[in-house]
Amino acid sequence: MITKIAWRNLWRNKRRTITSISSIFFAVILAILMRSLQEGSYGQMIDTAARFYMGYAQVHQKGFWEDKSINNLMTDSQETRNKILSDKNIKGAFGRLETYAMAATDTLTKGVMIVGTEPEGEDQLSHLSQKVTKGQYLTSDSKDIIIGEGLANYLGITVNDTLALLGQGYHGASAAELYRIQGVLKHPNPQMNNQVIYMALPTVQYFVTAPNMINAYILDVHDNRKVDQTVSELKGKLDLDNYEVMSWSELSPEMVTLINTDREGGKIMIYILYVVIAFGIFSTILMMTIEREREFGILTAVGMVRRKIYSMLLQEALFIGLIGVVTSILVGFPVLLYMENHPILIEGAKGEAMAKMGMEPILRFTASIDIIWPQALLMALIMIVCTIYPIIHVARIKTVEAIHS
Amino acid sequence: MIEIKNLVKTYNADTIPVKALDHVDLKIEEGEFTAVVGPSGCGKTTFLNILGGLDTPTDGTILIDGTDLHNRSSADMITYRRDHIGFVFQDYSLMPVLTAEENVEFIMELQGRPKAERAARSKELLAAVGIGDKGKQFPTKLSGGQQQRVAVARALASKPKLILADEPTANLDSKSTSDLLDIMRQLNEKENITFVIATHDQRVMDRAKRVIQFDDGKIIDTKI
Ligand SMILES: Nc1ncnc2c1ncn2[C@@H]1O[C@H](COP(=O)(O)OP(=O)(O)OP(=O)(O)O)[C@@H](O)[C@H]1O
Ligand SMILES: [Mg+2]
Repeated sequence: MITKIAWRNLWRNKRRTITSISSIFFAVILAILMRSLQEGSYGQMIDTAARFYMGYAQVHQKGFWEDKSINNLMTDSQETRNKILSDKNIKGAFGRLETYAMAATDTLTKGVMIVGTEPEGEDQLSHLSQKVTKGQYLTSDSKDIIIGEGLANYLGITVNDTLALLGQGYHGASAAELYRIQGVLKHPNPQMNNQVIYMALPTVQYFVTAPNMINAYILDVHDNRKVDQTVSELKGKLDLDNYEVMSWSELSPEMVTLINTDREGGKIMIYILYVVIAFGIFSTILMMTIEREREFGILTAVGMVRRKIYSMLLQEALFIGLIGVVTSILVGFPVLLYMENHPILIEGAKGEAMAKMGMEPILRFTASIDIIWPQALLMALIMIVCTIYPIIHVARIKTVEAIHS
Repeated sequence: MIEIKNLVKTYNADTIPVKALDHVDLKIEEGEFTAVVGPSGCGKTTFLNILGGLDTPTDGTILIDGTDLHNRSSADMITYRRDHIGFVFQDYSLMPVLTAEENVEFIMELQGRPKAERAARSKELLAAVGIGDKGKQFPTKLSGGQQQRVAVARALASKPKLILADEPTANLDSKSTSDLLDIMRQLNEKENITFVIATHDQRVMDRAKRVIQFDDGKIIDTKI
């Protein structure tokens, strides 16, 4: 019956209750949208980083990440590939062999990064072929190379020119070869744009005298939110004495830090918003309490212990919070689901700038329960905190004085 | 039986002490129907508050069936009031969000009585005070007289032996007053419930079995 009384009490001053509920409603909607946009943008950042180059996860020879030496290669085996591909979140996997070398023309030399890769897999992950501005993208048996635009400009060479590469091969072998340039690409990462050379995997394996060897499997996934789970599943499948499996977050801890910092910033904004509305709610609850002093006096006179009055006040507050939160979730979650599937396109100069940086020019949203339940919890907490003082106030009410007030 | 011994209540408002009750001695037998009367400010409400355990005396004791009423913790006092004393206040003392029936049931719910018993007894009590047909009405839809009848029904809900009423007829017209008094007298006679009623109302005094006259915190006269 106390619950019934609490519920009915809410509607004694409909306008005030609805005002409180709406303030919660709008705050939670705003918080949900903001967090969704944040998480969406992190997903986008991760995607961009993964698709730039890194992949969502990588498998290496054990110890490679600690010591990225040309001598720390592993044999590319179909068995390992099959194990990786058997995970249902894995969309694709391909091998890469990276090494460093000196590139020389008649007049200039420059240190370069050579990426031996599987052109098809690489294209599926990073759409590399679309970044080729001159000439042709690689095929799996290309003997020729494509180079970053910045590098091409620096060395003053272009398609069909020849470039000499000089480096260190596997286990001390020397590596020196002449290559024809079959394409120039504009790599979205400026640093790579100035130093990258892509080759087909067999071509680089021949260059460093390491046939059938690679230093990493680059993994693409269906759902980037499940990468950690996928990584731990792969760890169960692969022999960890020989392999290491790393997710993007381990491959790029700086990005994790960046995301966490930004996420905390967003949460602080939400806390500030909540504190503001908490004041409004507090004053409403306090008013609801003070104007009923006489009623509380009569209730204690006729035998209602104070504990039950406190419980009634708390239930009133929680009802307000609950209605606010539930309505905002009922409205907000479908909006998030819609927005997740219909991201906002950024047009004009801003969009172009984003595209130039290699990002998709869109605002992405994420619809996730993980965004919503903390808001519900926070609101419940706020309602409880806002009721503490009113409860103290009721505890101090003197029955006789209240009745005769 | 209620024995009031040497009851003193002093208010210390603004450093000038006010003796609202000044050495009151009184015995109230079970089944009495007593009116407490006297000029405004003579201490009637103070007396009822202390007798009902809503307030504590400055000095003196009240023994109800031999035990000291005020010798309890404040939480115990609340449950004691719930189970043993019924209150009727001057006005607007019902829970506005509860119907007449629910107002009566509420006390029994506080006592932890089963639902079926609560529903049956609240209907019975409302019928006994003559508004059996108004059970589903909210207090705002009832006249002052009807509200006071609900208040009496509520006061009876926990089957107390003592009902204290402070100016219960102050806001009622003469028809409602006489109806309410009929009901209270009936309950007094049939159920042997003790009534103590603070009042200015001549009509109440006329129907009381005993009239206790206060002045300036003292009993100056008792009529039977
Ligand atoms: N809380 C209080 N603080 C200080 N003085 C009080 C308080 N309550 C009552 N008094 C004083 O005690 C005296 C008795 O008051 P009480 O209310 O008992 O009178 P009453 O007989 O009920 O009067 P009325 O007929 O007007 O209701 C009065 O002088 C009053 O001013
Ligand atoms: Mg009075």
